[in-house]
Amino acid sequence: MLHRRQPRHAPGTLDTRNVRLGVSVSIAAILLSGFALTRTDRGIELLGRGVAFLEYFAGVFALVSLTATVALGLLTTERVFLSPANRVRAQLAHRAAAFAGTAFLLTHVALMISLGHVPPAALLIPMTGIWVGLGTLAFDMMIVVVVTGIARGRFAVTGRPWMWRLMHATSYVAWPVAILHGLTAGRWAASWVAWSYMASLAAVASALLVRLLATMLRPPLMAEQVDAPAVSDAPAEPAERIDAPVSLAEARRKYREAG
Amino acid sequence: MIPHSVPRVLRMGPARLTAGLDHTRRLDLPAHRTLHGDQVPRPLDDIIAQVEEVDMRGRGGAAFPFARKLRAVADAAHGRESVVLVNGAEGEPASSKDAMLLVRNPHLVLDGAVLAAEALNAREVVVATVEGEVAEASITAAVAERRAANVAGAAESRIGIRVVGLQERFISGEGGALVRAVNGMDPVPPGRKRRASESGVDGLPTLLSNTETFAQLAVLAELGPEQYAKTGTSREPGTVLLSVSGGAATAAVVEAPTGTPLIDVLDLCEAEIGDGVLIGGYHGAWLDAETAISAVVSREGMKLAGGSLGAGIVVPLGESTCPLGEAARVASYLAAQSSGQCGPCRLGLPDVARALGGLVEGTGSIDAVRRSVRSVERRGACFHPDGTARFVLSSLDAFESDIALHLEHGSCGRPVRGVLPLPEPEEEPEYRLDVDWTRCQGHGLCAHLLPEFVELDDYGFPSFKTVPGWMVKEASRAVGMCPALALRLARTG
Repeated sequence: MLHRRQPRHAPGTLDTRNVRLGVSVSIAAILLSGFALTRTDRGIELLGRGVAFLEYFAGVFALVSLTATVALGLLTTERVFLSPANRVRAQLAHRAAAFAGTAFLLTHVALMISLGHVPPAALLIPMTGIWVGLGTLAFDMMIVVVVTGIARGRFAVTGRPWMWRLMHATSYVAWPVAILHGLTAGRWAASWVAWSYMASLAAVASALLVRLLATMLRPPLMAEQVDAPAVSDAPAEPAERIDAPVSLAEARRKYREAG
Repeated sequence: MIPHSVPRVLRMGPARLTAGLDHTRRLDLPAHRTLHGDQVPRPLDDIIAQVEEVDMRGRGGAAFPFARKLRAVADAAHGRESVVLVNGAEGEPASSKDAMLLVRNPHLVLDGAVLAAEALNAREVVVATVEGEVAEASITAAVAERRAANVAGAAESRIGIRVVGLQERFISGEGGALVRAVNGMDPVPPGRKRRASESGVDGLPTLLSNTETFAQLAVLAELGPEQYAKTGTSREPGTVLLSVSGGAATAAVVEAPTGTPLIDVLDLCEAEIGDGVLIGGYHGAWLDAETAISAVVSREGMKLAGGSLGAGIVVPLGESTCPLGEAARVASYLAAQSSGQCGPCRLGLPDVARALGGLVEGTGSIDAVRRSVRSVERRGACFHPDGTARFVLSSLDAFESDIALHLEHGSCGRPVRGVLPLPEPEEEPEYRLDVDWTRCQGHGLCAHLLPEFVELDDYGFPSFKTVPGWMVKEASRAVGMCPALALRLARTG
């Protein structure tokens, strides 16, 4: 039995007072040390190196985590290989990857705009050439995807789940566009990087195709036919009298009558 | 402050703690000083000697020698600070003496606590009481009265008095739980016992005792041991406060000298014994009619009769109600009051209550009850499982003939009237999981996430039970994770 103080079977160790305290303290420490670094020349140089690193890699990290997100999202409804427990885990991993990907994406976009690589308006309007513009396009679609992902529960209540599916499936468009953007805008990608993106595109596309086909080719959901006794117009035959006793009491009575 | 309605007070013998309460609802500071005189600070050794002379015990139920407690705190404090903590948060629904003292005679309690605090050179006096009740308002007003008197030039003690309001639960009166609550933690008993006299409020040595103990201490200091011992038996001199309720026509707090026959107290409250008298609260034991007639109000007398005086709770049952049903009601209340920390208590007490309920319906057996009791006894951090076990076992013994009737006919013919006082059950929101069957694909994630409330049928489709309010977080998680977006959470009723 569960109790109000024990609402889980195996109480998680992540949501305790100490963990919360530790996380809050470490976040505060990181923020404060960031501010502290700006006070010294050497600190500013370190910060500059950090920003340069993020300028160079935040987009890559975003693309990699969003690739993982798409794959995991596709995996969450996989019922052939995954048990319910693993599907729950897949959902959690999908959300975690999406969170990381969105964070990296926001960092990437913020840095690109604040460092003057693109004008601020390019955040939403594709106006800086085709390859960078693809990134803008992908970002716009990502907004829809992230918002629907957060507000998923609302759609279940309001009664339009297909609407949610449609909007959230924008990711299947946004993601290839983002890959295209990643491979073409900025520096030239190494060939193995390009190949692995192509491989994951192919894998996800085939999985998606299988899922779509499975949905479309699913036999129509019909009520099952159960065989009922057949109707016949044969003449009635009197049933042969079966002289087996029905109950123990009757058997005893028969036995007594027979002596 | 004049409270609108106050607990009723009756008296046999001399007026000690209830002096002056015949004429007024609440004794304010001037009235209290007129009655009891000014307070004179005394050295600790004097107080301990006096307390030892009359063998004063803690009045919260455990009857721990108060002199030993005082000495332990003084020893542990040795040069450090200490705290005096007044336990006015009795969790017992049948007890009203703490509330009576705090509402009607708060200055007597404060006098005793301040006397001890000054002798111990304590940092402060903390009065812990139930939040939002009249008692809290009254004691807060009493503290304000003292402060105002000092401003006006009186010589009241300047020691700090803090009032702490607590959520009332059955186990919140337990010493360890009380200390934790005052320290701002969850009001649940600690896993490892720590004596309050060594480490209590803020980790300081703490003199923790019941309101009545401190009131008795003030009376003892006022009268002196000889005068104090003029009433009551020679081994337990003085008076006790008894909370009489249940089948009594006039529920009241009775001040009686020790050695008073129990039947006199019951007559005073116009109570009939009926099937038995519960002594010592819901962790106490029943006295059947014959023993109750000859029982004497004192620790010794109650022990001879087969019970224990505890915190002085006396609940006569009367004849009109089904005694076994009343016991089952209390058992299920006690089960619900488990703080849920210790497994045997959390899981075992509901089983005990169910077994007793089965007995009421005539389907269970005495053996089943005893078996379930055995699995909780002495298996918890606090006294709650043991006390409940004692209550249930004592009910089995006291209502033997009634149980036989129940087992034979399924009922004893008397309805359960609710004679034993229980607090009103709180309104808890309940939730219902609604499923859109046209969308449900039988993924089964909800059954994985909420195994207690979702069952899958042979085809893999769910059926739901009502989800209690404290599970709503988990339930909405299941709603959010449904792959088919088919679940909804709705409030019932």
